[in-house]
Amino acid sequence: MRYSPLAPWMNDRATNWLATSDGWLRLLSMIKRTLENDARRFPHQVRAATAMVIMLCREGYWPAKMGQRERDEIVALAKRQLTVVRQAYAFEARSKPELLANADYKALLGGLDEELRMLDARMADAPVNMPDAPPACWGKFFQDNSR
Amino acid sequence: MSEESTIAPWAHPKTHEWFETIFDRSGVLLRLSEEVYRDSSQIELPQIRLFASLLMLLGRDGIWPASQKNELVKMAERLSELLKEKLKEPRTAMTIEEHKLQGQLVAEAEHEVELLRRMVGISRRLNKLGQPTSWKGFWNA
Repeated sequence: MRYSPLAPWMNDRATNWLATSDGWLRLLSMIKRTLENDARRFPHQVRAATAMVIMLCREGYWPAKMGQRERDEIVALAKRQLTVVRQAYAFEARSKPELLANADYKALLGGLDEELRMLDARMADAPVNMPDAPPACWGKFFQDNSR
Repeated sequence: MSEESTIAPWAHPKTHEWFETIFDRSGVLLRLSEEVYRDSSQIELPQIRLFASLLMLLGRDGIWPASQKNELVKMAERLSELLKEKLKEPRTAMTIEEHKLQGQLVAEAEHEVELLRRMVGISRRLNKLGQPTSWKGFWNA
């Protein structure tokens, strides 16, 4: 088992609601359909959909008739499309080298690489040695606004 | 949420429109809200944790529709109330193992709901709170 049995998405009785909720299933279907678009035309939407795959495309959150195989196909699709987005940004940087002097642009390329590694790890048969943390460019993910 | 990254996948204005569209067309927020506001007798601890986890993942600027921010805060408050109610309920007889497991689940639920409360800005607690223990492997598994 890859996750703790105590994880909130690992309780069958609770996640049964997700498997039968028309709203939730429509949301997942729209995420998947977005990934089938031309990544060059819709890079931002494809990257956002990929982030949703990183967060949600796992047992419990993402019901799939064919089980893990179907989820792996979605992760593979997200990886292919995010690779296209990464290549488009890298191509742009080659034609405008000044972009690489921009810290945000460099961080974005690094962030895309991290997201791609994360998708790779999700498809690996054995656990991959990488940090159990969101990509750095996602900011402080479990942030605390009370302080 | 104030400290969001400007290069996060949900930071671009075009993604805000996309999220707004998919949340609106799927009707997922309405469905989530219906579940969270069900009678407390129909909601168990694992469901409270599941909904809290979804709000923690999706309830952030850029993903959660700005026009529905108040609803996010209300749902976080509701989950917090539900958890308090559940903890007041008399417990049935349990074995030592079951009691131990229940204790772990309650601790995780308290952690997750408190984290959610902080994320939406309705908690005044000051101690540091990181990723819940049971979420180990969430990013690399």
